[in-house]
Formats: sequence, structure tokens, C-alpha cells
Amino acid sequence: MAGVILDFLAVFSRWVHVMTACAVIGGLIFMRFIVPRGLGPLGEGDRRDAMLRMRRAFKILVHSAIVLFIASGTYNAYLAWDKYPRGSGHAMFGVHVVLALMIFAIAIWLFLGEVVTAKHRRWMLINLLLLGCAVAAASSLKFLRERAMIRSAPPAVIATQNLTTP
Amino acid sequence: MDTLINGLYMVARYLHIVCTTLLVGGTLFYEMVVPIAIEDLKEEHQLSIFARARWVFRRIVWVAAITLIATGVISSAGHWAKYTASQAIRLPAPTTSTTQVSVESASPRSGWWWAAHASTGGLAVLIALFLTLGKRPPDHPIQWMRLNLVILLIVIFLATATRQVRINETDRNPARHQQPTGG
Repeated sequence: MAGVILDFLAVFSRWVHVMTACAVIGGLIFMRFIVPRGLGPLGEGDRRDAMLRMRRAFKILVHSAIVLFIASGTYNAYLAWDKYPRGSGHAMFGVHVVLALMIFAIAIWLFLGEVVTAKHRRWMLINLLLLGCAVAAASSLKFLRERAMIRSAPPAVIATQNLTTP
Repeated sequence: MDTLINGLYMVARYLHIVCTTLLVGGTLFYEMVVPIAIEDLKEEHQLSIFARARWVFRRIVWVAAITLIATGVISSAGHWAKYTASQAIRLPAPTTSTTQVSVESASPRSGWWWAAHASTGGLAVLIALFLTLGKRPPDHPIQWMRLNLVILLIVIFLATATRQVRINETDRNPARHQQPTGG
């Protein structure tokens, strides 16, 4: 029973982590590339107001996402730590964490204040690229972990003999 | 050759995740954030913004849908042996020898989770394509998007569960999985 609960927690925690990444990355792409085109026909004032309201709504999502990322990421790392191969695995984990911290810092800075400038748009793009790198690091980490698990396992011999045979 | 194949699986998994983020995040933003931002505008302006955003989002949905299917096929091929292998239940060896005795169960567990993930994922992609097809959106587009968002969240949960079951199976029976690790 405890095993089932732990399995469920592991799945749930990973689900939260992936789902949060999806919401943030997809939302950023939408806000950076799609929304400005959607707001095209509006006048300057209406466009600025709409962008500010959108930014306010997205800010709540991003700040909640940072909390969820840290909580679920810490739990995921705790569960998988022993399975990461020493050297390459730990290095990749470090890259992932450093990228995540940079992304959090930029995201928090981007949503400070009430004015959106061209500099903000450039940094949003930089943050998107960093998010892409963080996903790549996580993906490589998972690959390294699964490879290490398979390589470290002793070759099992499956007996074809009858179970009653001593 | 193995390095090349493993590299292909890694790239496929990366693209699969990136395309999922485009679909899930885009749907979430379109359905939850945009309406809040334009609620004070006149109705014709609101409709115009939705239509223009849909026009741009459509290209992203199409590219993401095709890439998701292609990378999903590649990743599934990488794990196919694990999905189709029946599950072995280990019993303690009857003697002190290193021989391990296993009883084959008929249920391919991670395979069933994979089937659930693939079928609901296919459904979510179809709904996304249906929503962006044609010049006019279907009736009740926001409700459709909300439904698709829930389905997408279930799809991600099923993918995570598939992975967990696969890892548990690898832990239990590593001999079966000593092939290239796949996607």
C-alpha cells in the first residue's frame, strides 16, 4: 500500500512539474508572438491596456508556477538523486538547476512594474531560449538516469525450470 | 550507431515536450488569460482579437500536431519491447544459487498505460485541429478549449504514469531492458 502511495506521489509530482512547464513556456510564446499580432487592429491606448491586463493575469500564473516548480522539482530530485549517474548525471542536474534559477530571476524581474518596454520583449525571448535549454537538460538527465539504471543492473538469469525443482 | 539512435530518441523526446508546451500553454493562455485582458473592449474588438490570435495560433497547432505524432511514434518505437513484454513477477530462488525464478503474468502494464496515453493524446490533437480548421471557429470555442485543456492534462498524467510503471518494471527486471534505452 505504501508503495502505491509513493508511486502515485512520484507520478503526481512529475505531472505538476511538466504541467507547470507547459503552462509557462506555452504562455510565454503566446504572449510574446501571438498576442501582439492579435491586438494589432486596436488603438495604441487600448492595446497598452489589454497588454497590461494580460500581463497582470499571467504574472499570477508565473509566480504560482515558480512555487510549484520549486516544490515538485525538490521532491523529484530527492526521489531520483541516487539514480543519477555520478559525474555526468550530477553535472546535468546542476545545469538544469542553474538554468531554472536564472529563468526564475528573469521572470520575476520581467513582471515588476507596470510598463512594458522593448527591453522586456527581448528578455522574454532570452527567457524562452533558457527555458528551451532547461527542458533539454531535463530530457538529457532523464536519459542518463535510465541508461545508468539499466547498465548498473546485474544481468538476471530467468530460469526456465519448473518452480518445484529444488 | 547506438549513439545515433539514442541521440534521435533524445531529440524526439525533447521535441515531444516542446510541442506539448505549445499546445497546453497556448490553449491555457487563449482560454484563461486573453478573455481577462480584453473583457473591457467592445464585442467586435474582442471577436477581432480572438480571430487574429486563432489565425496565428493555427499554424503553431498544425506544426505541433504533426511533430507530436512523429516524435510520439519514434519514442514509442524505442520503448516498444518494454511495452509489449509481459510483466514478470519475481519469486525468491529456491536454492542458494544465483538463479532467479520468474513467473510471467499476462498483463503488459506499461503497455496499457502507453495505449491510454496515445489514444487520449490522439483525441486531444484531433480536437485542437478541429478548433483551428476552417475560417470560422466552431460554436462554443471556449468550452471546447476548456475540454481540450482537461484532456491534455490527463494525457500528460498518463505519460508520467507510463514512465513510472516502465521504470518500476526496469527496476524489477533489468535483464529484459538491457537494450538501447529509447525515448
